[in-house]
Amino acid sequence: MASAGSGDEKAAAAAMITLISSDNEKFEVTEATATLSQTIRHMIEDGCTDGGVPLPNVTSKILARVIEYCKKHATAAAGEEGSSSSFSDAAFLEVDRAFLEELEEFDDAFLEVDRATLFDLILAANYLDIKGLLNLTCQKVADSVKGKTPEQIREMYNIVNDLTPEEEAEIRRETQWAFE
Amino acid sequence: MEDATERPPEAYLPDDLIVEILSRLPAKSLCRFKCVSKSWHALVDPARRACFFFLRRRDGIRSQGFVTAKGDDGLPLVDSALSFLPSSTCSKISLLDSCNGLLLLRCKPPAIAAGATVPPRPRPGFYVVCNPATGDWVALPQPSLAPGFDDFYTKTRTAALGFDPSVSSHFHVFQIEEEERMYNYFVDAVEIYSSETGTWARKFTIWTEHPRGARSPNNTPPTHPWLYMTGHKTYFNGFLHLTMCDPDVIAMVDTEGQAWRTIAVPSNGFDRSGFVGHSQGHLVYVDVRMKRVPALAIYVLEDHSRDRWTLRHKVIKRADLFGLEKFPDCFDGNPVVAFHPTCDVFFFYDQKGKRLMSYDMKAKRVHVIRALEDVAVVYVDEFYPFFYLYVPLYSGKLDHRMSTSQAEIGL
Repeated sequence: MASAGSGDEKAAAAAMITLISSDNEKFEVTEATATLSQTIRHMIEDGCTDGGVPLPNVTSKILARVIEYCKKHATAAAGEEGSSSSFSDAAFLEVDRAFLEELEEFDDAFLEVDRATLFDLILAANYLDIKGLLNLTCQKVADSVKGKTPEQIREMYNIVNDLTPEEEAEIRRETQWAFE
Repeated sequence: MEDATERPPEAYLPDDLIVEILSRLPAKSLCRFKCVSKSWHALVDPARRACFFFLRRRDGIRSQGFVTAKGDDGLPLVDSALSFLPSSTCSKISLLDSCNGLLLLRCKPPAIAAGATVPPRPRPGFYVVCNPATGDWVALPQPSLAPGFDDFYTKTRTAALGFDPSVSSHFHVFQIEEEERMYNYFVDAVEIYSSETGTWARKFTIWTEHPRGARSPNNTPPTHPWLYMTGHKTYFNGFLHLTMCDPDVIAMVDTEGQAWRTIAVPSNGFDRSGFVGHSQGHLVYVDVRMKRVPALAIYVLEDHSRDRWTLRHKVIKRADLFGLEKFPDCFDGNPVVAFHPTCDVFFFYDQKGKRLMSYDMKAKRVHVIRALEDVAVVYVDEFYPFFYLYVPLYSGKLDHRMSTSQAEIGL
């Protein structure tokens, strides 16, 4: 499996794919980068990527960010060599750890965006089926709301409280422990 | 809607993506957000989050099964088959515990293959802590006594996991050591692993009745040196809790192995049947009651520092859970397998009907989650089906300090 796979990867590295954003901007990426998206991977497998892949749900601004993410993480996937390193020798572990730290730093910096962009990234990650990016962005939102009160959530996200005072009191009674 | 110029951000996140975000929240925040609005209340559907890993036996082979509280067999992103573990080093896997999104496994590597001059050599099992939602895993260094494996007479047949991401990103593993005395295997020592230090510390048990409880004549709290496990365990509030017998108590130990305590439990005439768990921020105990009609009594410990149980949900008769049809007069042990973390629901397994079910204590309603034919029963003090409540944790790497002794496993 592994040896056959690496041969394919070398071949794939040479192949380029053109992605076309909703505002008609073209992005040339390697197949290794593009196939972090399961959606695009399936299109490649079905052989329907000649002439470029139109992505009508993703703007050029967001697509550029997504590609930035995929490039970095495609390198990570290629460098990983096998699934996990928990048992490998110390030298390899050191390299691995430094690389993971770098990747984490990249992810942290990548997430330094305004809320609207973050939500657009979530939508794009979902549409393109990029597991890692979806996880990263959803977790970022989750972390930002984790310690908030219901009132703060409503304020942050312009949500109208359509519960009646009685309903709200009832829910609060049921979930009293969560407010302690 | 009044102000069309500023669209609220959720307006363009579909519900399934909001759920995707909400599913990454700790239970407490999630519960709090039920009163944000009507639609959030609906999205915070508790059934979306609770799932179970269970021990299964199919064609004589033990493995772990997975089922959600809705009866599905998968969750997005959760690798319930644990296929991220390399089969080259983990040829045999036993599920030991589940705690706040992490699993504790005992793995056995394949025997070292026979070389030209070397005979094949079996290798001891080792512990692995993993997160099935991220595929992250780590093998622990060996404790002073090697983890047992399917050996009835091993001293180290079980271990427990302590992890609470709302308190610390580190986890603890408790290896329980048992010693034979008068044909019972009492818990003699607990060896505790800290992922922060990367080391094990072995402590002999000194379980003492809580000083606030009944005191012996010389005013020192009585100790319980010969307690043995009856099978249920839960990590809560920084303590591992074990159901124990001789006498029936819940025994607790903290992650440092410093604080040891027992809590007396209500007894209703059916010994060794207690289940311990936690729900909505409280320790919960369920006992089989044999007065007149067999029933379950559900108790809640209002204050974790005191031994005072409150009978929360009076009694639930056997017929209420299983119907009257076939087996009217007795419980075969305690059918409860888990409590829902955030609502008044518990889960139980119908051994005769081979079904996983839930009981809503408020609505007094029974719900069949799914028929599960191949649930394995494991002997602790009795034979139990083991279901481990699992709520996915999507965030964070396993926080773990690598220790040099890991190389000693020789993998």
